[in-house]
Amino acid sequence: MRINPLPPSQVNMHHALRARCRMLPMLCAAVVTLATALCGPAHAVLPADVGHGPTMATLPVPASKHWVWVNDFVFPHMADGMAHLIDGDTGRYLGTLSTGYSFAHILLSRDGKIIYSPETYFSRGTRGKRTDVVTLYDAGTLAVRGEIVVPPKRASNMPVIGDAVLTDDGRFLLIYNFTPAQSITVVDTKARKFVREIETPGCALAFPTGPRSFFSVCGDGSVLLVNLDDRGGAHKKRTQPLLPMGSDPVTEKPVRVGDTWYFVTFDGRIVPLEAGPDKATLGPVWWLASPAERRAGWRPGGLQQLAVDAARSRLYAIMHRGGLATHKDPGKDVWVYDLSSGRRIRQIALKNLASSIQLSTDSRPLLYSIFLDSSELDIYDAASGKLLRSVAQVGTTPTLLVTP
Amino acid sequence: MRAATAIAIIGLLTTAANAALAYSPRVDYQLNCMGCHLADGSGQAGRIPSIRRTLLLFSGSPQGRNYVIRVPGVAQSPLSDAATAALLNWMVRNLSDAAVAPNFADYTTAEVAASRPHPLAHVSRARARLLRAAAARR
Amino acid sequence: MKWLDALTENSARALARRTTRRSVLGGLGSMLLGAASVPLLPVARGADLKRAGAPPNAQADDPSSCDYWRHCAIDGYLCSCCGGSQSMCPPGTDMSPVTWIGTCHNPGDGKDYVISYNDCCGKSSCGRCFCNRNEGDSTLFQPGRSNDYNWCSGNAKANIPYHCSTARIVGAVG
Repeated sequence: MRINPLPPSQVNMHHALRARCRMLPMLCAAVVTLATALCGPAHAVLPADVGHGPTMATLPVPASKHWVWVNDFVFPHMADGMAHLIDGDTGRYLGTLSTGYSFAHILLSRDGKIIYSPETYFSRGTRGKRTDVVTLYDAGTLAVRGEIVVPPKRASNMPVIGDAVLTDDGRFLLIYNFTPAQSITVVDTKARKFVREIETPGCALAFPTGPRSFFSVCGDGSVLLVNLDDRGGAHKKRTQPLLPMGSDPVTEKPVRVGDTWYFVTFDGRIVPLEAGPDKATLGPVWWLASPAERRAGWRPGGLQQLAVDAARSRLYAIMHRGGLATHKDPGKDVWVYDLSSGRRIRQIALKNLASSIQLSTDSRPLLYSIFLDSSELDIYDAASGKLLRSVAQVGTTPTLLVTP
Repeated sequence: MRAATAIAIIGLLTTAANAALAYSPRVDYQLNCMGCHLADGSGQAGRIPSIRRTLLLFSGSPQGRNYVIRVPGVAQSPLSDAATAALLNWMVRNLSDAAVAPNFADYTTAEVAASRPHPLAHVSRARARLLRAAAARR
Repeated sequence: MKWLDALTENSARALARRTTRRSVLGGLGSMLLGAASVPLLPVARGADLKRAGAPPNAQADDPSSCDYWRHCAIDGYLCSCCGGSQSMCPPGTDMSPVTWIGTCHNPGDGKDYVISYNDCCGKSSCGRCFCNRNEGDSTLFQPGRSNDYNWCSGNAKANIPYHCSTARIVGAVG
């Protein structure tokens, strides 16, 4: 009894496909459908793709304010760093950058046309000659547009935003080096060339303070103020110790609103550092949690543990309950503060654990949340805390979220 | 929630500066220096200075002693001034290639306290200058 | 691709069970997996070595466990699970001499030890027995006290691919 209308060869093809489809269901469902469509008698012939239309998708420039870059240092395979672009409004995955060994994060040019990415490569994958570059990607095609070779000294560490920053005028790209001697590489983005290396003995990372200035934070809590001249020359000035470095030190994960960098300590004090090209002063210090909440163990944690909505002067912090030495633990709560008063205005219970949060920079901000050991990006309405959507399969060990 | 103020920070810094862990100089060396300079102080050519070859040399001149105390690793360590002085003296005597003269002038707490608040901003430049001066003296 | 999801989910869970009650993959991931987070206190932050009493911990003497006493501030894949040991690199990898150094309490003999967390370098990540504990860990601003640097950075021969981490005894604190 013949129950299958298809000739034997095609039956076999279907069986083979269906067998494979246990492994690759989504891809194969499409192939099986296509095979059925091609072989079935009642269907019209689909138009050919080959020879028609573009073969590569492109992106609008500048990017939507509701897009987010998920940077991933791919801890189990660090030679294969990646950055993933997601549309927060739809949850669509838009594209990838492949960014080399011990990747930290990408930076967007002021006009949104170029993506800068400090990267490290070895001539034999994980061995051989090391080359560090800043790769320039076209924001519309995500294709490589050029590269600037820099000294092979980029710090390799748990990624933080201070690993690489642009000066406020967008002209100079600053990269933190650790060999373990500490220094900052200065790259001229206009001339597209390496300019110089600035020794920052005992001081780490770079935090911009103006069009041509930044600071590094030193191990004793003092701040190294650095001014760049038009050719990238550096003038340095070191302050007295300002930031706490003792038993409750500030983390290396501050966020910025205007001239103020908001640091947070292990125990949850917010320490504002108002920093310009020539001076830095501390603002009033306040706690994220009340004394009762602190007794109950509430403290901040995570990797990208703070986010700010500069326009509305709001600070978002990942919170968890834990004891000493849990300063890197992820949290399932985000607490929201009014920066002008230090008052907490909302507590958001997250769907998933988060080690990184970020906000979009528009008038109706989205709150993005992701955990280093997961690959699900959750997208919330930042004002209400309502979960809008989740995007599965975003990266391997997602680290820093970067928004246009 | 702005209960605490900048004054609290100052208090905390004072605590940090005094957070002298009452260990022997040997353990202080292990915890604060050895990670980079290695167990025997030899460092790594071209990357990490050798304590074995240069600490005693630098300790023979006022400029050199000032440099040693202002090197970030020394100036920024969590040790007290007294513990830092004791550690430097232990390093001179235990990690130097050359013989230490019996009349070697120990680093003092006051000496450390005077130079330490001014960490160097240009370490490699200062070091090169000292090495040139030392070579000229020979 | 569902099978891929299932694979990673299972391996992540298995990894978590095998390695640590406190953390799974992720340089900072201390995901609480049902079990209590052990309050491995006062050694935290290198401030005070006097300890009221070690927490009861059956795995404190298993070098392939995240709870092994020497791992009190380690961050990475355990070399004991990668063909090496707590004091030795796996075959074909190169131990970075430069590293960060902390202290851990050994409940076995009641003593505190100075521990050197030398990384093994020159191959891709081992990928087994991830462990992150942060007693005494500071920040990137204090490199000598931070487990967030890749300490293969100080390795001239195999600069900088990270493979796994050891926890070597320097000596007893005394």
